[in-house]
Amino acid sequence: MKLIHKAVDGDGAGTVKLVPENGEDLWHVYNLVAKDDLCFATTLRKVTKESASGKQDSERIKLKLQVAVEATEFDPEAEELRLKGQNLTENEHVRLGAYHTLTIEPQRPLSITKQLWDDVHLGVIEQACNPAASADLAAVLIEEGVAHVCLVGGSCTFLKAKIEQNMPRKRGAAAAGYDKALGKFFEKVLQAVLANVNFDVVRCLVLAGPGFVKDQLHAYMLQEAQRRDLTAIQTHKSSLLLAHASSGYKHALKEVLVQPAVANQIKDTKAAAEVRALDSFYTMLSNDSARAFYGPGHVMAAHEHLAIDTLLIADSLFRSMDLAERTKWVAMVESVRAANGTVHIFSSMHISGEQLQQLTGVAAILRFPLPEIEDMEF
Amino acid sequence: MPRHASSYNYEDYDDGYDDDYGDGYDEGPSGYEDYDDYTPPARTQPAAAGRAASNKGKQPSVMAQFISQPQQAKKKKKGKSKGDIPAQDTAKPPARTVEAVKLQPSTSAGAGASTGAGVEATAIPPFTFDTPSPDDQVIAAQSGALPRADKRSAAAAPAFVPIQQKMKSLQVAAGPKQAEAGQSAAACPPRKPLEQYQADDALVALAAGQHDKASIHLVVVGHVDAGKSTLMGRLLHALGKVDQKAAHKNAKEAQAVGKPSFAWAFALDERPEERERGVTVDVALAHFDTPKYRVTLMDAPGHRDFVPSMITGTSQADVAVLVVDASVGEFEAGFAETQGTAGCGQTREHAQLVRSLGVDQLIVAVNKMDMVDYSQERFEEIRTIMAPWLKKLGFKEAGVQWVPVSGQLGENLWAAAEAPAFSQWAAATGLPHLVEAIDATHPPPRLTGMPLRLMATEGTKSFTLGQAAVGGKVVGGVLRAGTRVLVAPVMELATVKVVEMAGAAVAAAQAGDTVDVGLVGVDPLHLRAGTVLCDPEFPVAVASRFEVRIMTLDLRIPLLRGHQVMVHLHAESLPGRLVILKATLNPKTGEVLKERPRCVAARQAALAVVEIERPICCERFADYRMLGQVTLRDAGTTLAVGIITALEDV
Repeated sequence: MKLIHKAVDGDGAGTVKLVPENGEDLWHVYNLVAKDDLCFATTLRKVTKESASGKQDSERIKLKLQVAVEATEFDPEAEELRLKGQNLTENEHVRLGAYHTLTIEPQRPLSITKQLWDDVHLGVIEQACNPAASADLAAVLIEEGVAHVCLVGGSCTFLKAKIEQNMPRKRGAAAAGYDKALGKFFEKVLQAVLANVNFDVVRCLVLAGPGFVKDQLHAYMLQEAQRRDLTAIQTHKSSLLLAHASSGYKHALKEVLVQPAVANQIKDTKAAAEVRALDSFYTMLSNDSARAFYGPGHVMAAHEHLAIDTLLIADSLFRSMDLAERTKWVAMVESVRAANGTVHIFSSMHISGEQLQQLTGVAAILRFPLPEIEDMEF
Repeated sequence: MPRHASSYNYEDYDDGYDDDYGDGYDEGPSGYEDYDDYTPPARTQPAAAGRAASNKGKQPSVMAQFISQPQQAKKKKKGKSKGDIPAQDTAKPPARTVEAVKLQPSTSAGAGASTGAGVEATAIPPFTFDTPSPDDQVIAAQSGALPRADKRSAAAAPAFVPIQQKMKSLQVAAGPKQAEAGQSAAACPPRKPLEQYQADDALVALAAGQHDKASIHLVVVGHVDAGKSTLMGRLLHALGKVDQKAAHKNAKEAQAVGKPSFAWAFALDERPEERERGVTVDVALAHFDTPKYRVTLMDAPGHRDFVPSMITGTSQADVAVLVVDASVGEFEAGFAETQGTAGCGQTREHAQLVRSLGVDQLIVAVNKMDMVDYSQERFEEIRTIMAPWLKKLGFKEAGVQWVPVSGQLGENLWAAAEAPAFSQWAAATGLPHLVEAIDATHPPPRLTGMPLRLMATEGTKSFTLGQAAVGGKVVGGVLRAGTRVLVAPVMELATVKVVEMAGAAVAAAQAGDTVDVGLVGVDPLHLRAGTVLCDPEFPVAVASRFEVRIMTLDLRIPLLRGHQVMVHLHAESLPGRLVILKATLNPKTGEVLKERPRCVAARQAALAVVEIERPICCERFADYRMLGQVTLRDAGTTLAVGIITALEDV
């Protein structure tokens, strides 16, 4: 993401102008924009005109509009962010107060004006504008008959393609049908990889899954690359990694990300740090359950004792449309940091973030056991 | 996903380009009505409901239109489903309502058009559905004229009942089911209680009379390289199920890939990559006869990556053969509590799974006795280590048989041991050989008197079966060529064309048989592992959310609410999660220890609700054992095993 302009005054009010460069940046913007923010961007709008003869013509007009945001929506598949709100710009085509939805795509500049830019907001901008933090990793999770092609970025995991193929079971004469189905399956996966993976951007392509299907896919890809002269694969042969995973579904990514060969490629990234943090939470929960808590009630209670050593919190909590709710969590993050605790803000677009969200979105590892809150009901 | 996280309504989404209709912001409040953005909350509610029902982003806006005109929508559907009745027979009112529905979406586009339609619509009194429609009359006439109409069409065309009454009764009936997950409610037709089912005695007798011997299903499990496939390949050869030519070919191929000792295993491991690596990947199916039984053999893979296939195989089995490697070091590896970073040895994991998947008869085949010079001490040592542990898992002492064997040399498989060092003590201890041990087991009771359920383990095709066929096990009921079946979870009707057992056509098959079934009237794309063929009047449940009673194994980390797991259920494996932890239980008595626990630790029993990615076929364990057993795994280890206790209102 490019930061074009930042004017935030002492009370935290101000305007920031950004240019999101890819889907991941849009995700960051999605986390920044809240209800009642003012957003200014170039947009298209269909305008209907009536000519003198009464004929109705409609055309799309490019406009610059500022809207007061009422709702936001992020579409990871289309790489679009939609901000809906009432128009604030005086204009011959759009009345003041008319509803309009700004569709933000990569490379479209956007100004955001807020009453209060808090620590979490500024942290998101800093993180998004740091190119070193982005690690692009492509992964194919494959088991017999099921494959998922994912792109893992610094703070987002995008599922790019899902391939399913009915595989006949083994049995004497039908073995030929199996080979045919397997060939078809690999071909679909290869096409999905070619369509979705830009080898100039990703650091490596990990083929992961149980059993030998991943090895067969690897052999197939190399063979086909040579046969069909697919230069993209041929020149990046060395960036194909093989890794073990227990299944061909997306959540097996967490096993892939901790494996040394893969972890080395992405070691400084959020994705890897999140997986490790969640893992240590689970380990603590099994070793000393009075030192690991999850759920808003328990975590708040632990925080009152200033007991939180590591706070794991999902970014979805900051996206709350209820301002008081958000302020509560921001205050908690700030005070944990002030007390020398570590805060991991999980991206809910990552596998580990999805998992944390299932655990109510917030969890904490404590400095000392608090058995008295263990039995509390919330 | 963000779409769910935000309170945003996709179907009300306005892309910003066409907000500026002729009726606009400054035309006064009346103009607001057509504005998606100004829609009062009351109208967005049905739209949300529509989305929940179809779970697709695109259609709901149309759905919402229908929901606001329930009667018209209903009528339109009806007109479609009775498509075979000529259009001119249909009276005026239905035709008009269809037209009105079509116009509905465009009413917001122009005030002129909408008022025009409105005037026309008001001119004709709406059809109140309290008199028989032309369709109803035709159906009534048809069913009256054709007394030989089968049971199904008679059931489909009962005497006319005004729709208001129907809806009233529907409301009462649907009441308690409302809470069921939206998707499954939509996909699942109303279920009659299973007790109402009356078995067709003649058909049951026909199916039972197909064979003079009882059928038994055997699954072979054990640690990787314990010699499962070799043992069974050797046995199949000795019993004449692998002919000399094939055996010779296998031996030559095994020699060619440099693994001469795998020659026997190649009888079961037919895939190229299995032969290349010498590892079974998928469950192989074979049939043989013992003096007492027709045996269906499932050779499960031992490698830890393929435990899901092993679960599929075991869920169909009556008896398990646990093969352990007697050679020094190998037995210990298979029985290890931790193997590197990932879970326990497969001897352990498999035995646990076998027991929890409801198999209580176990034959422990202590293999590779030739590698330890047929030492009786080694055999006894293994027995003393394993017996107490098997007992702890819940195997009764009488349910476990011990057989020392050598698969490679064929010792003690189908006849008493012949090697001198072996035979002298084997005879003295009175241990059976493997075939005797198989004959000493008992087939469990079969659910022949229950409605039909056939769990498919594969979609297949062949010359005799046709293009649309499934292979699998009959779990309940009976079937024959000509039986009408419902293909779940797609809920399509089909007719059985042919039933084959072990490659030969049979007149009928009953619960407990493994069969291949050729079908007509269904798209082969819908036939895959996990499909269930069932009785159309007593269909299988299709759900994406169910309550399970689980028993956790040795967990590294406790199970929490929201834990992501792989859910294995008959031939299905799907990602899912634990959405609610209801209670921890006393494993013996089932009494509740703690309501809504924070987590479930290792070796605890608990009641939980599991939600999976898409709806699948399942049944309560109490009704059909094989369709109600759930295994929860993650990262290559088994976390918990359980049974489905409830499908609705969870």
